[in-house]
Amino acid sequence: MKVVAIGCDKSGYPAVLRTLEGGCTPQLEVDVRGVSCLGVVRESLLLEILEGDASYILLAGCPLDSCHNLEGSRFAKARAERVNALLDEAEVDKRVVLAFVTADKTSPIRDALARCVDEKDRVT
Amino acid sequence: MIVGERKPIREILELLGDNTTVLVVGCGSCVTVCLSGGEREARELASILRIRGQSAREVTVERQCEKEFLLPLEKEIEPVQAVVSLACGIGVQAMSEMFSSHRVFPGLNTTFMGMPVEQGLWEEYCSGCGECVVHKYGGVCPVTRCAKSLFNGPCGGSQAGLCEVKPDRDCAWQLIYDRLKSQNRVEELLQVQPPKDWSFSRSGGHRKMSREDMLL
Amino acid sequence: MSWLKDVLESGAFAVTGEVGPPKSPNIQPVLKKVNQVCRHVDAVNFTDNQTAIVRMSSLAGCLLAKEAGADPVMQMVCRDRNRIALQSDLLGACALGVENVLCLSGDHQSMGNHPQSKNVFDVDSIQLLEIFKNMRDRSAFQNGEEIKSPVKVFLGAGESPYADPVAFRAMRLAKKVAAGAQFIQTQAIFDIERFEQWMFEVRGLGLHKKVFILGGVIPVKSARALRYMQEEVPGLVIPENLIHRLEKADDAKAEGVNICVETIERLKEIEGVAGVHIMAIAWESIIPEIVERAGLFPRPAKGAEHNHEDPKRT
Repeated sequence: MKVVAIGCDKSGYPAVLRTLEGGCTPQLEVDVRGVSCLGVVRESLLLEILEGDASYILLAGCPLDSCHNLEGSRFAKARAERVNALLDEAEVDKRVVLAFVTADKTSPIRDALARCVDEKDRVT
Repeated sequence: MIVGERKPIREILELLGDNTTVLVVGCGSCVTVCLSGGEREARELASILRIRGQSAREVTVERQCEKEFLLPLEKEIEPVQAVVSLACGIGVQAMSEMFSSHRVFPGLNTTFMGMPVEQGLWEEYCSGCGECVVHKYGGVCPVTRCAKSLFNGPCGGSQAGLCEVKPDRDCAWQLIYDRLKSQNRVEELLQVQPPKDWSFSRSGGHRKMSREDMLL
Repeated sequence: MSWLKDVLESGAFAVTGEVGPPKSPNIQPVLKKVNQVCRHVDAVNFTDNQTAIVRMSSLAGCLLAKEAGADPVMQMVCRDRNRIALQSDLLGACALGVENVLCLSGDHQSMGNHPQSKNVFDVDSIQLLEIFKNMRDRSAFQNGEEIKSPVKVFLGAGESPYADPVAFRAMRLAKKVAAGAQFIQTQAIFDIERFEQWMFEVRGLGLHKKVFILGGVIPVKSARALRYMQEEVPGLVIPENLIHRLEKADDAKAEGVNICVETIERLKEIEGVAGVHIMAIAWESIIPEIVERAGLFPRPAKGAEHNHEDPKRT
């Protein structure tokens, strides 16, 4: 199963890379992309990615209250929720999953990827 | 502006039935402003249809309610089996008229004429009754904003300034009273307002407007 | 002519009661309720699909009451009928000898048992009063056309002293009087002080000399019922101490009657209050006891012309 991980250069991106270096759930093929801030990721981009073969998108960025650009992580959370609501409505199993981390943290990323493995899990 | 709300995606899918090649048409006017049927929403809906395995494309025109803006769509529409219009009921009908050999499905429900009162919240302000009288009511329309369209004062159920029918809404008559009080015009409300002439409204039948001086 | 009008004009403290028609075509409950109350009230109101729940029509109830010897008050709401139907039904009521009409806006259909229905509200209650007044006084329909035979009707309206904006309430009554209201039956009174304040404002506008005001009362059977009304019924103000009284009482029903009788005693003392309207919802049988204990029995005796007046049918 394929996951596209989009990480903030300041936090999520290095955290995802570190997590993958430490070994990852074997069922997952993770495609990692870096962005300057999660705030730049629009709904249209999320949907476009999901039109491909990815089943999940992992958005990894700074903790909500310490986003380098103040509101980026909050925007990402709201957009992920909107896209998930659309997917729910359309009865599509694909999902956007969130993880808010600092660059040196790996456990929230590991947990989020583990959640992707269980298809029934939903974003909280 | 005209406010609309996208139909549930499940309902749109049911409307589309076996039609798998679909054109989603957004509208760049009112429904863009109320975030329900503009370019962004058209793209999202088309994307969702594609994720579900349908062949969907999207296009957004400046105003679906004017045929001039629809002419360029001819080539886009020709190959598809069905069209989903994300415009108000006027846009859907304009599309149906222009491309009468195609099935055009409404992708949103036109809800009311109103305005955004705060971020993400719209309220109805006008019913298009055909004979505006808001100046008598401190600029607050009793036809639309009072649940019972009362012209001579509040009903007996208004409490704490809220409507008894929709308790999360202001009582229009509280607003009217407060506005006129602030303008020292409360005594104008003592005038008994006679029954309204509804013949200018939808009750009078289908409406048309013509401007002789503008006819070609 | 209207017996209620005679009683009010005689200066007697009038008593009216209310009957909710059944949710069926069965005439027995109507006749039973009318018989329970008719010796103790001067007139009986028949509600018009109150709380927007479908019931036997008010006009049918009125006719049954009339045949049983009572003076009926036909309630008419603007929710379900346009000006064509409202005027038509007034003509029909007159033809059948129903001469008291209470004009109301009506509860919104979203509160009733057919919330999917379309409402009308072609006219509001004040406009309806004016239309009926002109039908009677000018023999003219709303469109100005002449009515060939006289329309006899004694016109009433409701008023809610407690609803917002409170400062507008007495003014609203003034509009109803200007539009044609001859008697007023108020929303139920539990907070007598606030009612007295409203009456003070009403007297300030001189309205008590232009219209007969009947204070509304509801006997309640339990603290729970009163709490429900406090929380759920728009336009009512219910003081906490009344709920406590019912909670503490050994016999809540008896205490509910006590409260009702006390309220009537207070109403009798207020200048400008011409009577009481007892809304004993689904408890019509208690009306005689209330009327007797409030010292309002016997009621004025009807003259021969009012006894069992036959509907004028041809």
